[in-house]
Amino acid sequence: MKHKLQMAIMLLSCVVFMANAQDRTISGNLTSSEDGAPIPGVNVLVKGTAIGTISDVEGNYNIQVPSDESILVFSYIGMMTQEFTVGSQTKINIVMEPDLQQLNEVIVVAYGTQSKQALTGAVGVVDKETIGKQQIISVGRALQGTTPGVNVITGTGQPGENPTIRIRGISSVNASADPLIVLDGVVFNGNLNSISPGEIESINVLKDASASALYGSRAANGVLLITTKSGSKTGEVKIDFNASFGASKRAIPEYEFLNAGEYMQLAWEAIKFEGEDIGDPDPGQYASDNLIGNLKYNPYGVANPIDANGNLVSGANLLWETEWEKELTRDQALRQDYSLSFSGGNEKTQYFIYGGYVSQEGQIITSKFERINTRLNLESKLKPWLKIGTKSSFSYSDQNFPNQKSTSFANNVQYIRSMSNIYPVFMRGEDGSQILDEEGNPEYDFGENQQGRTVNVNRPVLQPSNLVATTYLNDLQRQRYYTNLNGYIDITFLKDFSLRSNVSYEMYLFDRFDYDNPDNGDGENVKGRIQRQKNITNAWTWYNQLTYDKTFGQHYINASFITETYNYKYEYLNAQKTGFPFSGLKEFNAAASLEDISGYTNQHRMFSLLGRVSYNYAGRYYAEVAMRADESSKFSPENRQGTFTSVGASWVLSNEHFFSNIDAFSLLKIRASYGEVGNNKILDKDDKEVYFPYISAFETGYDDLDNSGVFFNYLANNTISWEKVNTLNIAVDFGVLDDRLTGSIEWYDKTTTGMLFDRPLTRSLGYPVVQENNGDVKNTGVEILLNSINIQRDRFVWSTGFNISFEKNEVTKLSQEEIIDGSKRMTVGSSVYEFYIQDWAGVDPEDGAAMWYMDEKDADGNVTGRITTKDYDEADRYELGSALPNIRWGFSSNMRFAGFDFSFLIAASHGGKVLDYDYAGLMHGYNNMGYQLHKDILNRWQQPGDETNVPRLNTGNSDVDQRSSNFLLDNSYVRLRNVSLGYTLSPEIFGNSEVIRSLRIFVMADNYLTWSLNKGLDPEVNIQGTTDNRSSMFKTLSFGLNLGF
Amino acid sequence: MKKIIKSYINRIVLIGVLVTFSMSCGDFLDEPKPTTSVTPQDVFSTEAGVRAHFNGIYRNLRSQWESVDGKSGGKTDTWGIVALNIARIVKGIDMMVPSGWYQWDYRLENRNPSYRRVKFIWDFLYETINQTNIIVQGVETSEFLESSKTLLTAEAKAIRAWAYYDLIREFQHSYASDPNAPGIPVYTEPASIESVGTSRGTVQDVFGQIVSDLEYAVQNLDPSGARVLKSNININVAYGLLARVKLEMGQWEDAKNAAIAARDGYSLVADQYDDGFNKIDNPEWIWGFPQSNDQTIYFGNLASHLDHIVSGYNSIFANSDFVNLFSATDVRNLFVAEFYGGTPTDYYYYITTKFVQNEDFSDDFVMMRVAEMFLIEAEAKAKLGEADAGDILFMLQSNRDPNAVKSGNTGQALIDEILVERRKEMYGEIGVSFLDINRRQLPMVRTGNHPDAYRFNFPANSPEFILKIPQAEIDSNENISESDQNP
Repeated sequence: MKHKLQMAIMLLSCVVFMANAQDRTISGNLTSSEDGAPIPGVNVLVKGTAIGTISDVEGNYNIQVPSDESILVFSYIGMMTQEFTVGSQTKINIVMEPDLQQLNEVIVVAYGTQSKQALTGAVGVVDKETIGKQQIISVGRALQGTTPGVNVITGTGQPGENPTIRIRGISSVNASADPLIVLDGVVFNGNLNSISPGEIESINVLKDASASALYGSRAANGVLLITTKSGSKTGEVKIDFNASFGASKRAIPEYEFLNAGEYMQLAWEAIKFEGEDIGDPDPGQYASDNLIGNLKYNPYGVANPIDANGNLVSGANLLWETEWEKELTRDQALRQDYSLSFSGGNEKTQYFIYGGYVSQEGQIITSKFERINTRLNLESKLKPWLKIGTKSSFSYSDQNFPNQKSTSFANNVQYIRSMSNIYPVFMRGEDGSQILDEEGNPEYDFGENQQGRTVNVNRPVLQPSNLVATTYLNDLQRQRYYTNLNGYIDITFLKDFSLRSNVSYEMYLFDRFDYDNPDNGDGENVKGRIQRQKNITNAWTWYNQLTYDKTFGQHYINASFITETYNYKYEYLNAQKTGFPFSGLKEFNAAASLEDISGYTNQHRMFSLLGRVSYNYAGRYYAEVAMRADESSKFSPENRQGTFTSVGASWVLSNEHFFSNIDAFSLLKIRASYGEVGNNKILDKDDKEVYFPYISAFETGYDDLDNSGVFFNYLANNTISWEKVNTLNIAVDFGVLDDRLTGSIEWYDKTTTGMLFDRPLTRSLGYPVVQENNGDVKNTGVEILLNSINIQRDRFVWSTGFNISFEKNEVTKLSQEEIIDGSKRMTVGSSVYEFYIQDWAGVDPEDGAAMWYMDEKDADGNVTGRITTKDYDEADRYELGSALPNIRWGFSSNMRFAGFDFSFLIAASHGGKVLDYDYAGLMHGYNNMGYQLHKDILNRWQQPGDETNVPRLNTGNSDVDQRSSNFLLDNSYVRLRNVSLGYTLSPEIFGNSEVIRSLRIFVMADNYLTWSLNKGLDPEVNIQGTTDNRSSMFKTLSFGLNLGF
Repeated sequence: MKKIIKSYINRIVLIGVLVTFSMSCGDFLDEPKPTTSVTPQDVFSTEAGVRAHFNGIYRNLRSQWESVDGKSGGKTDTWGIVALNIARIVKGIDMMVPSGWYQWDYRLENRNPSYRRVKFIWDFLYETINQTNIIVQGVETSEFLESSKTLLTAEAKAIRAWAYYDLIREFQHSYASDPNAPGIPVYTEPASIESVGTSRGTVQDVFGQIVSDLEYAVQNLDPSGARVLKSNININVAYGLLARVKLEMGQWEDAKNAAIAARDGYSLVADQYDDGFNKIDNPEWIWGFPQSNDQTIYFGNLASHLDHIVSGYNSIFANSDFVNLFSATDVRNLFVAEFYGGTPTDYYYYITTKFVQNEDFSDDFVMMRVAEMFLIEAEAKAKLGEADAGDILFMLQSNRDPNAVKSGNTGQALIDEILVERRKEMYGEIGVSFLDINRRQLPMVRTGNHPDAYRFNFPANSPEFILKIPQAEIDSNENISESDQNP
């Protein structure tokens, strides 16, 4: 199959010089070592001359050589190049050997495959070897550090959550900036975490318009083409069993907190200052008297444990100290991963059967993810003109997802950073002794008020709650069932035509099961609560592709015409009941009263016409035009149609005759492309897709008791339409020293026009935003990719890969002068995520007050300079840098020595800033009494003259923890993504047994080292550079084996 | 044979392409429609549609409120009217919450332009105003009967007036202090894509709009007072609002008349006072909002904060000097001392049992009661020098306390007595202590067992009594700049 494809794509040519009369003619036949079949289109050259020819359809060639010393060079893409000295022979038959390295260079592109040489667009490839070396649940993570131009951020420690992926900067702000995911040729509507890395052959990243134009109105953010594995034609049957077992923990340790003793001491100091501020005659005594009254809890058990001088009174000992991180997170989260696959086939039929199981515990107690995957890929050539195939898969996953981001009470991470060590897990009496229930067991402390009690009750922090109790007793289960059935039929007819009809059907069931137990916490008042969601996605895509493929002499042409119909339907159903008669019941039947029942349906349909024409002349000049016309139900009939076109061209200099003498370059190619793609995925505030952005809406469900009600909640702009992204891409691909060093350099300019913008309306108008296509943003960048084989010997092979991308993001047009959104401001010339916040000016050594900068103005209001202020309200905001990194790089190394293999992958990011609200929250300086504090607070100002960056402690609403440059950090990092060491046992150990083909044992470590400028904060937060108390990345150490039969 | 196959295949190709093309018919793309929302055309094609929008507005007022763009609200202390009311309840001198959700309101520190409280009140009330403007405009352009139009418009304008009145009281001192002080933007048309923000104008401008809306409402609302639910503003509520507004404006005659009209059909029922303040069918309630177990703000409820018996936030306490104002036989004396222990100087010494939390969170809450109308009438009459002002006050006092003794006060002494009576009657409901300090331009003097740090003594019209304009408004309104900010 590969030969035919390459024949089709790559009929190389040569220029035939007029031969001299005395030249001899050499002829011969060229066949493949794989199957003995003749190979047409092989390039035959007389070395050091411009004389050459190509083999015909039967693999025969004729060439005139000037002398016996002439050397013939036989080359063909995908085959090893061979040289042969003519001598006295007149017939030279050559068996061409496949070049395994080059064979991989046939890559999957939009609606088909192409040889890498024919590519005119920018496509990044991540192969199964790279994917297989990482301990990932969501395959999106495999892109980190492995492909230039791709930004991958995994801002959570909850296994099974997908990373944020951005390709070549940020081209959308209020529309989705996520790339389109295409699985085996069809747009994927499931959750990316349904796909197992083990079933993937490759992930190709389509970065420019030439590569992605065939995905038209959905391709603006790039496309990920995920291709699953298939069987082989060689007749060999491979059975592979892989197993690994490991343990995970946070990649970066949590922030350091004050211990209980320090917390009490500093609280005394803060209250002493309060006493001073209100003019109390003895502030020390005031603090001593009010300390427990403020904190409500007394871990020392003696009244007024800290005296008027701030010292611990004698006899006071800590009765408890709670390290909430230890209570709410796992020290070691276990991971197991098993898979079994069968693959094989013959000339007619190939198959790949896969089964996999993975389980990974999360950072937070009870958090986990388990997944089972099965897949059958089958292709069979029933007749010479008829081929059918199916790719079908089923995946089930079960995730327990305790809250670990956002500002909810139930967020475990926020809880750890809110509860100071002085609060107990279990209830304590007035004297500090543990309270036991009738059975003598300790009872969880929810911090509630209790009649008749004043101490060790009424916790000022997150009352009433106790996540240690409720996280164990409650469920937050998400089950996902994903089925994908993909079938196709290929018919070849006439001579040069083929037709593929492909139908893909997806069904994805998301089943959410939330349970609040009736004994403690949120469910207590209502005697337990259960919430269930069953959301069903049904989607089908049907495309018909007519292809014409023809070679005329040295001209090759391939044209495709495609029609595609797409239907997506999402049905949401939610119900909620309360009131269980007994603990332990969790089903609706057992619950007494209905709290909520709701449902809706979303639908999106598209109809598209696509076309592509590729042309090449003599394997040197390539040109390609692609076009897609989309019609979408998302826009009003007037704005529903969009046409997206791209053109691309490349010139393979190394195939030029004038280049054949330059040995240094095995490949030198220049390519350029330009085109337009679109984005139709408008999002609402919860990042949910908007299906009718052009219709103003009164939302239903606003019922006043049983009187049904509606509420105006969407002000439409009926002219809204797609965002358009124009990309110009120019690149050089090269290979030198017999491809020992290969690489490419790309430059791009990617401009979004008519960007979907939430233009803020004046707040007092009572409706906050309108969406419009008004605004341009430009992403420019350079990407460099270098792969080298440093050592290639029998027993020792060492290769390395390096990629680096430089990116710049710039807003070039806005509908108004500036758009301020929280900590960010967009102006023409800024990036889309430009921090615009108060600038911290340090602490006044005289009084310990926090200071910020403000503009100094003359009488006319002109800014003349900057002065400091102690009033946060007066402080001005300044542009203080972008959240987006401008340099990212990755470096990988693979070494094999005898039976050992060793590899590592490093990913790095430089230049982005992060506003660490989480840290700010830990530096409140007792304006949030009882809440946890960072150890850095120990550096606080204490007396006049103290030079420090930490202000005086203050129980008032002091604004010291408000956003400012004090909490704006450089988020550069370098992360050792993966290291693995393996040993492949020699077959002799099994006595060259017929049963076992191979056995490798290995140890793998992910994220074991991270160099970051910040402590406590994992550098992978979110794309906007803000934090929200979320769980963070894991490091994982695993052992395992690969067993082949 | 080959030929047959070829033609056969060609036919398949043809059919395939044709079938695909046939699907491009407009129907395929037109079929998807919104499933849970309706269009403005739908709403304003029937009166029932407009009624549904009113229902939606009332429901939204008592929801777990969050702005459409998610940039304000969304927290327990910003959940609709309840949050607005609790913030006012604890900003006065009678109720205390040194720690808990509303502690910063209690400390009068929750007023900076970027704070949640400030953004919430602004966005929440302006959102309501826009909804009413949508109705006013939608009804205007509808094809309803003229009589239906005025009835629907009257109700929308009354809601709008309420919202403007609640807004101006948060962002500027009382009307009486300076009618020409900067006000707040006033809009009477719905937001559209082209809308731009307006300037602050003056307090006078805002009150002009409020009075005009309320006068329209009382002239055009159904005189019978009929309504779907007690959450709806009917003619009694509109009169009650007018009475409050006129009282603030010092237009005593109008205030008196409106108060009398507002209480028409409602009377004092002393033995309802201690039944938990959570039932909308209480005959004293003129206006209130219902909740049910499936339409609730859960622990955000008023009683969750004020009640201490049923588990909730249980965070608000009564001040000792306030408790001491009540006689033992007063039905409103629902305070419990030493519930948690402590001594009378501890802030947690007194709790109140006036508000009872339902375990399923179905507590209704009050917005306006008949007693307030008697007190407005008494205050207006006292100002007008009418002789029976004291009698009206005593009528209420003796209803609440069988052993009440008539003071015989007149003039300022009577007015002071009425102000105290207002606090005693309405504590924990809508923030009367704080609202009266603003309205009457009184100093705020906190005494009793307020903790030392919050034992304030602020002069009248202190900046602490009003909120600053949200930064987001200044950033987004070309007609308001930093120089328009409140001090």
